[in-house]
Amino acid sequence: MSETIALPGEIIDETGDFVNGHGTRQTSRGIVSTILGTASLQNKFLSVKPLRTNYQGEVGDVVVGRVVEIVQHQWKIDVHSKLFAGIKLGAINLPGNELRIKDATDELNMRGFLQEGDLISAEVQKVHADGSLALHSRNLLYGRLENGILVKVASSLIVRTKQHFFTFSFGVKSIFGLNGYIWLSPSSDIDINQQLREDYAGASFIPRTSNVLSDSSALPFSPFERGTRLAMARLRNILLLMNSEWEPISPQVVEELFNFSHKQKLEVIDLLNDQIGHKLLTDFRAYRLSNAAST
Amino acid sequence: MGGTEVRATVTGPRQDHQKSGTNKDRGTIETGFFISPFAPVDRKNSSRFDKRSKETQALLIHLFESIVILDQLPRSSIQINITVIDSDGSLQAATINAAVLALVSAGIPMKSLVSACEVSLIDDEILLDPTQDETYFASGTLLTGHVTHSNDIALMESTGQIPHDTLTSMLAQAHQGCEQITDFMEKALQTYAESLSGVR
Repeated sequence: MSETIALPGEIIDETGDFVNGHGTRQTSRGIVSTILGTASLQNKFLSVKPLRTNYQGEVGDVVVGRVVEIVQHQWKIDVHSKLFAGIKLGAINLPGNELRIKDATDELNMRGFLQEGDLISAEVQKVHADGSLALHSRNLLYGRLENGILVKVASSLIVRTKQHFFTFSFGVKSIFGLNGYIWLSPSSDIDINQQLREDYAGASFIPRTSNVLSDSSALPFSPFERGTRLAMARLRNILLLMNSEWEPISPQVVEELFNFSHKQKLEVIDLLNDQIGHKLLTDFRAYRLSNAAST
Repeated sequence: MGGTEVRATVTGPRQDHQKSGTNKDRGTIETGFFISPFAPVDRKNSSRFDKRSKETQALLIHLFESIVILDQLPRSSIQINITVIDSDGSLQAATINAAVLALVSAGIPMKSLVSACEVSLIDDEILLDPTQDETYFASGTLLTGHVTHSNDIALMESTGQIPHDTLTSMLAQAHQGCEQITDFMEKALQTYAESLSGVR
């Protein structure tokens, strides 16, 4: 069905034939929208989908988040949702693929794995009734993020695809968190960390070697080339541009736009200029349209 | 509005940082209000904590606690921040209108839109959207917030003296003004929504 825009307080149905869903409210005057969004009808179910909101998670989503506090056997993670997400001590893997019930000693050592301010990637395990999320990282893909850039965009722009871990051809790997947090890091890191990963086989989070709170990353810092660094900077600026121009973000489109901006001979810094950025994206849309028409 | 310019930003909803536990099943609203030193006619420095800004903040919280559907936002808080860029009368009305638009664009559930405007009474003459000078000479000023598409009044506040027989006509005048603002707000939101969704 066609979608229409609904404003808060707008009466979207007076007949009373429909059931009101998310983003709507039943009043004496009929069903009224409570948010700014697109109204849609499924059978008799009338709902309004918000245009912009905080992240509302679904089971299986890949997210990137930051540890904000440690409370009783769980870490609280900021994933740009209404409430903090939690990752339980029981939902991570211990070093050496050890599978056992975690005890008080593990609880004391929690800060050794993750401390406040750390960035992690994880998967949504469960959505609680109040909308808060439970995460897990029982997979080698997930873990603490170091040595890279975090870019924050609107969560509704991230397109749901099969691939949220994406390695670009220009030496950058990325995690497109569905909560709008995107992580960029040099793809060469994999090799350097291989040894460490083997040492702590199966661990979700590699324990820190020292307990000095400031500079205490578990992984050794690995310098990377100027080219990679520039590519990461360009990628970051492209993502910010797409966010401000409200363009849906998926790894494929980002890569195309990356190459397109190269073809237009734009410097990395140019992408931050509003006018140049707007022109680039307008040209890019036209370019994609003509490409789609020719194939 | 006229010579008045107000910027509003909304952060949230996000987890309430207070661990009071008093608002387990409802959200809370927090406000910040800042008048730039260059905004008023008489240039003066920071007024973040003066009486007037506290009053406006209390007004905003009072209004939005009845308009925003806080039951849907348990344990979280919404921060509304207001910055006055230019101040030339009808400041509170402009503040409310800006805050409403900011809340809508942040995707926060509300019972309805609200539009506000001020009317002043000078020498038996009713003025809509008074400027700073007009408010100064007015015997009384009335601030109203109307719920759009209904005759409900979400907020009403008066300063100075208003004779009871002129109150009704002032209210009617204010209602008309609010309807104009509603039209403007709805058009602005419509274009904003179209630009985001691609729906025409």
